[in-house]
Amino acid sequence: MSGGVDSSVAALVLQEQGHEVTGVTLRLWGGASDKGCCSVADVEDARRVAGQLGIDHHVFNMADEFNRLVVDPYVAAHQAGSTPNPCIECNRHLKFDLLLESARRLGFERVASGHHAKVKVTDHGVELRRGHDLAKDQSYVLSMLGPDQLAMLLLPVGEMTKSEVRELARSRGLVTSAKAESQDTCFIESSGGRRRFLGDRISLHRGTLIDLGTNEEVGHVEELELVTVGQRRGLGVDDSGQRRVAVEIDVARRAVLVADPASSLIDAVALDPSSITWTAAPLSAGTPVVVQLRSHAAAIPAIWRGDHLALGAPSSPVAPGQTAAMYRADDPEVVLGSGVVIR
Amino acid sequence: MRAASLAVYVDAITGTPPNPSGAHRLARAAASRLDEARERIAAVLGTTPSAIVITSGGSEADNLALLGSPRPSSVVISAIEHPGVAAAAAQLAAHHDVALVVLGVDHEGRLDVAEAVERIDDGSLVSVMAANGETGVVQPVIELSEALRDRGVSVRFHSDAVAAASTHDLRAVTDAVDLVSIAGQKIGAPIGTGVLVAPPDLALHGILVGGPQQRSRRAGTENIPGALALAVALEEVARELADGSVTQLVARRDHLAATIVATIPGAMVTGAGADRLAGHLHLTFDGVRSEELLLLLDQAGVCAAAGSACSSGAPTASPTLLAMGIDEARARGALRLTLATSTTDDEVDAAAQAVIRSVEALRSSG
Repeated sequence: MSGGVDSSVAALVLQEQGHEVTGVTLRLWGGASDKGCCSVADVEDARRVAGQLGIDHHVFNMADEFNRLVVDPYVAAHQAGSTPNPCIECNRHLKFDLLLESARRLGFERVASGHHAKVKVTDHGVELRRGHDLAKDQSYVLSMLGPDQLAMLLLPVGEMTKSEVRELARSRGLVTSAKAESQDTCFIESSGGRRRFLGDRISLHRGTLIDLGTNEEVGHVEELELVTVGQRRGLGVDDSGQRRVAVEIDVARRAVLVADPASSLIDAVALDPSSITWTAAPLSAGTPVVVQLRSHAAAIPAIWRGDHLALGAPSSPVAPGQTAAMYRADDPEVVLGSGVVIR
Repeated sequence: MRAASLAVYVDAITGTPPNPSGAHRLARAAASRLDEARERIAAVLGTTPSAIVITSGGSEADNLALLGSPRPSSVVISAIEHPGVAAAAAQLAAHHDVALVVLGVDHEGRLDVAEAVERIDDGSLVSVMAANGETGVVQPVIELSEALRDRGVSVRFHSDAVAAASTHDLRAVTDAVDLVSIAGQKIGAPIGTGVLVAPPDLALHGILVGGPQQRSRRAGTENIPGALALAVALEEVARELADGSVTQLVARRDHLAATIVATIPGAMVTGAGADRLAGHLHLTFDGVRSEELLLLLDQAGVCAAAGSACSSGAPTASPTLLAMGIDEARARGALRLTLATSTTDDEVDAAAQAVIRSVEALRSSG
């Protein structure tokens, strides 16, 4: 229970279905932050909702693990010129690894969360599907779950729209019913943003903009480590008036390679082999899929090639560190697996 | 709350006029009950009624002792003080140009008097707790005070006796130091009550400012029902010390410890070699996390603590345990069980079995 409306309603729904429910809030971040899954106010909201539901509530301290497994790698990745998705790493290492392990030790049969996605038991095993409310779908950030994790997972709000979630919370008088959603990285203060967060931890370097085609210097950025592949903002326009797109961050050369939008397009993404996960059996090479390359991007057709995805249509460049979530070509609501993009 | 404290509290809050400040007979009646509370508290502690400052609890008493005392050249605290002391000392250092000295503890969680004496200068404000609230380890406050006196080092000495007051005779502590903090809810008096013992001639500046109550040492209308209930609780503790109840408590506590340690491999009693408070049992287990253990104990009806929690309520590796040199992994498997004189043998056995079952369950599935 993060203290938000979705996990509040997840607990409510399970309780009303007759389950014996215990609320757990993860304390993830000890530093300054004003939002998301990390603030004391959110823990209080979770505790209050648990009190309203009459269920036990406990706070698990995973701040050290969050630092080690999410924040430190996040900082190191930016230092190396890539852009990770910390929500996915938190789900991978904390919520659906350490917390699941803990739940098993404690004798709980299932772990539920308030994510908008569905787990569906089929003849072939457990399927992970996009949430009923496609605008709020969070299957992307759960795409790295494996069969053992899915078998233990319940996602009660995945069958509901966000407005149904809020309506149910309101009708039961839950204190979180009208709470605003958290969208940004939970451990980064909105006032200082990524610039201050990273600037406090690593040195940010001036970087040269180099044109991919001509290899000529065409400008600079003040903070190379804050540039994301695919970014256009702040990189200026080329001679023909087209906005430049970042296509590669070369930390060693302190350079950002840029191109015009058409030249920046990619037709394949390579995945880090050690990061590849499958919700069921591994896909064989040559299988058609649809792939989602960013949190809120449309999925595009692709062919799984065993270590990379051949895209069915040119796509704007994807930052290393982002996750590619693969869905079934013939049933694009079903998650097949995921991997972290290396280029 | 103790039944006797509750009875006095209810009687006072329903039968006594609320405000002792005034020139009329009702105010005099209230003032007389306030005087009575101060006298009874002072009698148990072995001090004079004019030394008793009624506060809202232990943190306020600690804050008042450190921040309200005349500014010292340096403030010396132990590494295991309650945040009410530690944060006040940090504030003196950060905003008032006072040097901060933090004294370590040995592996039993006890302050090293010899080291302390070396590091305390004339004119310091020293704050060392009478006993630690997590481990229950009694601190050598009296020895330190004597050692400083023998050396001719003149200091102002405060002792947070919030944990110690539950099962300890505080007369010797009150005698040895200048300022003593006590909290009501730790001894079975109502929450929101506390006392700072401060010499009547000490120029203590109120940290709550306003009216001239308590000789301007603490503004705000005095909590007379609370002070009376606290006096009754202190008197009961003194009786329990005299009639053997506290000795029986030690026996029950040691039985609980022995049962757990004999059954769970790797279970360790913190400060086992030190003098500890009668009702405190602090343990560490390797390979177990406090939050998981607390959850299972809670399900079994045992309300225990990990000893240290952050503002979200999540257990953290306790600064007290880290100061004792206990490694962080072991410190994350801490459990504090506290017993009262009202705790029964059956409850002790049930708690022991719940701890054993829970640790075994966590280890077997780990």
